[in-house]
Amino acid sequence: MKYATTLRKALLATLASVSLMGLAHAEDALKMQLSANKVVTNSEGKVSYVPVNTAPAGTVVQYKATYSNTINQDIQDLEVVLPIPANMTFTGEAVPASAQASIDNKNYADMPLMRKVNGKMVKIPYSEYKSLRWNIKLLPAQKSANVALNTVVN
Amino acid sequence: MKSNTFNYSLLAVGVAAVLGLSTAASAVETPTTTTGVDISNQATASYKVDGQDQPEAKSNIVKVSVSQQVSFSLTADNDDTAAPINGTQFDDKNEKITVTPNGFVLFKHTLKNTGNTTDIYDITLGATDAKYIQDESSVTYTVYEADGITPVVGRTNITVPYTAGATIQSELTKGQSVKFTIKAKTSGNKGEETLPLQLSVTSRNLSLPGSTATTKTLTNLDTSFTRLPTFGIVKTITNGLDLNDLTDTATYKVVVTNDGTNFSADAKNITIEDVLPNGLVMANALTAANITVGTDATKGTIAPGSLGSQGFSITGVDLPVGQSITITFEVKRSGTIVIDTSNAPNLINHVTVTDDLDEDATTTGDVVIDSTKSGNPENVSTFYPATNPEVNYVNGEPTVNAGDDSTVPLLTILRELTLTGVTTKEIAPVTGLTAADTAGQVIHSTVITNTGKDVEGSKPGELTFTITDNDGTTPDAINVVPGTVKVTYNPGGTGTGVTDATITPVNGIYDINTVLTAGIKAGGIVTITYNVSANNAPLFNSSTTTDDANATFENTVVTLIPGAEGAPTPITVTDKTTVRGLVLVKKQAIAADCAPTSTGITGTFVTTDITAALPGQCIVYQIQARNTFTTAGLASNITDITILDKFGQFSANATYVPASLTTTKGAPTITANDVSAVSFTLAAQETATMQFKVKIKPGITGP
Repeated sequence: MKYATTLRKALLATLASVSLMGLAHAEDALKMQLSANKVVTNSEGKVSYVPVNTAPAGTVVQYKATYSNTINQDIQDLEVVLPIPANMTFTGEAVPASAQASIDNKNYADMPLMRKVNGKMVKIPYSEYKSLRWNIKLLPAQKSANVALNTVVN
Repeated sequence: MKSNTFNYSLLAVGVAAVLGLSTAASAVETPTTTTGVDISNQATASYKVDGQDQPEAKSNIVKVSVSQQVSFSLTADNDDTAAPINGTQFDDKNEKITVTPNGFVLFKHTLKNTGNTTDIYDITLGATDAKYIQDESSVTYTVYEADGITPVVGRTNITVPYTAGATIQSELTKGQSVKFTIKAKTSGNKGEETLPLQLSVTSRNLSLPGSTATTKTLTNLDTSFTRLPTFGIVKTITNGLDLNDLTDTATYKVVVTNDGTNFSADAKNITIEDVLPNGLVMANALTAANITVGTDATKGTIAPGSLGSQGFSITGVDLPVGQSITITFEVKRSGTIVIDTSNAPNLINHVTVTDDLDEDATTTGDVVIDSTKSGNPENVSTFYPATNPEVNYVNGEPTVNAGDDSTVPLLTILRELTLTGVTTKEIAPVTGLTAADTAGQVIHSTVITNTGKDVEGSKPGELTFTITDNDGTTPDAINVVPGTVKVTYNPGGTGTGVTDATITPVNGIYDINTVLTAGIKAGGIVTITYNVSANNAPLFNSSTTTDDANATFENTVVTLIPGAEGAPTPITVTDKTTVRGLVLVKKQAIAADCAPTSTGITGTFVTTDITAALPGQCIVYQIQARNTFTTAGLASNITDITILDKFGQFSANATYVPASLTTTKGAPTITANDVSAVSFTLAAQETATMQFKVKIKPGITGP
C-alpha cells in the first residue's frame, strides 16, 4: 500500500514536471499567500490571530506566508524571504525558528545576529533586522507549508 | 529594501484630539498630529525545479494601515521658580539664570518624543548675544529610553561645540528623550545684565511634505542674568592714637557688608586684606575674637603671619546678601616714623576684598577686587553696571549707595587745655547768701581754653571741673554760692553756644557735657563764673589788727579735670576773696589847751591809755573811719556812714568842750547825749575823721 502510494506520487511528479517544462516557466509551480494578523493574547495567555487592516503603534502583527507546490514535481532549494516592513520591528519570533536574518537584505545568517563592538561580540537589536529567510531543501509536489514572523508596529 | 516597503502615504493628515493626548498649542509641546501610514509587505521566494532556477515567486501584498501620532515636547528645565524671578520650571523659558561676569551659565533642556512613532529632530542653536563666547561654549546631551532614566547605550554624555545656527540631529523612538545642557561662556557682562539665547527643535515627521501640522518647531528662550556680590566697605576709627602717649594704641573697625542690589548674590570664600601704612603696625595679632559676623556669614580663616605685623588677611569668608563681617583691631606706632598732626592725615590704610566669583582659580576675568582705595587693583567698575557706580570716600564720610566704600585717615588725639583767669575779689562782710539773693556777692571767673586739636567735652566725663574752698566745702563765713556756677561758650561760626548757662554738679563735679553736649571745639573758650558770699565774715583774721594785709580771705580752687583717652593732667586756678569793710579806730591825745578850736596836742594820738593827764586838762578824741576796700568803684563805696560817740562813755569823768567837734566827712552834729558825723560816704581806702575835746573834771584821780 505504501509502495503503491509512493509510486503514484512519483508518476504524478513526472507528469507535472513535463507539463511545467512545456510551459517554459514555473511561476505557477509555487504559489505564495501572505497574510497579516494581529496577535492577541488574552488574560489567560492564550494567543489568537485576528486579521488586521489597521493597527495603532504597539500592535503585534504576524506576517504569515503560505507557500504551495502546485505541480506534481518536487521543488528544491526553496528560499522564502519575508521582509520586516519599515515602521515595524521584528519581535524575535519566527516560525520555523530556523530562519536566518539579515540587516541588509543581502547577507543572511543564523539568529541571533551578532557583531563586534569595541572588541566584543554583541547582539544586533531586532530593530535593525530587515528580513528573514527560510531555506527549504525540498517541497514535495502538491504540498504546502507556512513560515511566519511577528513584528510590532513602531 | 526597507525604504521601499515603508511608504509614507499620509492619509487624513490633521490636527486633532486623539486618544486623549493634549492638542493645545502649548509652548512646550506640539499638538498631536495624527497620520495614517500604510505598511505594505510582500514575501518572495526563489526555488529550483529539477535543479533549474525558477523565476522568483511573489506573494500577494498585504497592507496594514498604521495610525501614527506625532508630537514632541521641548522644556526648559532650570529651576527658575525662586523669587524674584518667580518663573515656571519646565516651561519654555529658562529665565534669568544666574551667571557671573565672564563666567559660565548652564541652560538645561529636555526634548521628548511624545508621539507614538520614531521621529528625527533637528536641534538648532539660535542666535546668541555677542557676549556669549561660542568658542568656549558647548552642548552636552544624553539620550534616555522611554522610562526617562535609562541612558541609551552609545548616546550618553556627548559633547559638541556650540555654534550659533548649527543643527544637531537626534532620532528618538517613541517615548525617548534627550536631555542636553548648554554651557555658555559669557564675556564682558556686568551686573544686572540680561543675555538671551535661543534654542529651536523641528520635527521632521511634522515637516514632511503634505503635513498640515501647525506647529513643527518649538523654541525655548534662555536668559542669563549677571549677578555678583556688591561689597560695602566701611572703615572707622573707634579709638584714636594719643600723640601725647607713645605707648597708646588706636582701634580700627572694618565692616564689610554684602549690600543688596538688583543684581546681588551671596559671596563665598572671599578674602579680606588690610595692609597698614608705614608708621603703624598691629598692636596684637588678629584672632577670631576680633571678628564678628552675621547669622549666616562665616569668619573665615586668618592667614597666619601672612602680613606679619603689617596687617592681616582673612580668607574663606562667606557673606550672604545683606550680611556683614566686622573686624576690630588695634594698631600702634611702628617706631620708625614719627607720627604727628601734620602727617597723620596721610596715614590711610585701605581694606581690600577679593572674590573669585566662580571659585575656580584656573579661570580668569572673574575676580572682583573691591578696595577703599580707588584705582589699580580695584576693578569693580568692570563688573558693576554703569547705573551703580561705586564711590570711595577717604575722610570718613558716610556711604550713600550700595557698594560705596569709606575709610578714614589715622585719627590722632592731641589734647591740650589751659585754665586761666585767676580772679581776686573783695567782699563785704555780709552779702546775700543764695543764688536768689546775690546782693553783695562777688563773681569769680575762670577761662578754659581748648588749645589742643580735639573736641573736648563732647562725651560725658570727658571734661569736668570742681570748685572747692581752700578750707573745705563746709560752709563757713565765705562760701561759693550753690546754683551760681555758670558757663558761657561762643563757638563762633557754626555750633551752638551758651551764655551764663547754669551748670549743676553731681557730687561736687561739674561736667561740661551737661551744658555743652557738642563739647568745646579746638580753639574754643569757655568761661566759668561762680558767686561767693559772705556771712558775717570778720574783716580781719585777728581782732587785734586793722592792717589790710591781715584781712580775712578765702581761696577757692577751680580744678579742670580732663577725662577719657589722652586726657592731660588736671590743672587748677585759685581765686581769692578778701573781706573788706569799714574800720573804726578811736585815738586820744592830751590837748594843748581847752579852747574849742585849738588844734594843739601834747605828743601824738594813741590808741593806748594816757596816764599823765590831770584834772582840768582836756583830752582830744579822734575817731577815724576807714574803707578797707582797695579797688575803686561803686561796688566798694561804703555809704550812709555815721560816726557817733556818746557822752555817756566819759561823762562821769569829763565833759564835752562845746564847739570842739570837727569832722572831715559828714555833718558835725551835737546833741545832749552825743556827738556825731552824720551820713557820709567813703570810697575805697578813703578815711573820715571826727574829732572833739573833753575836759577832765576836777578831783579825778588816775587809775
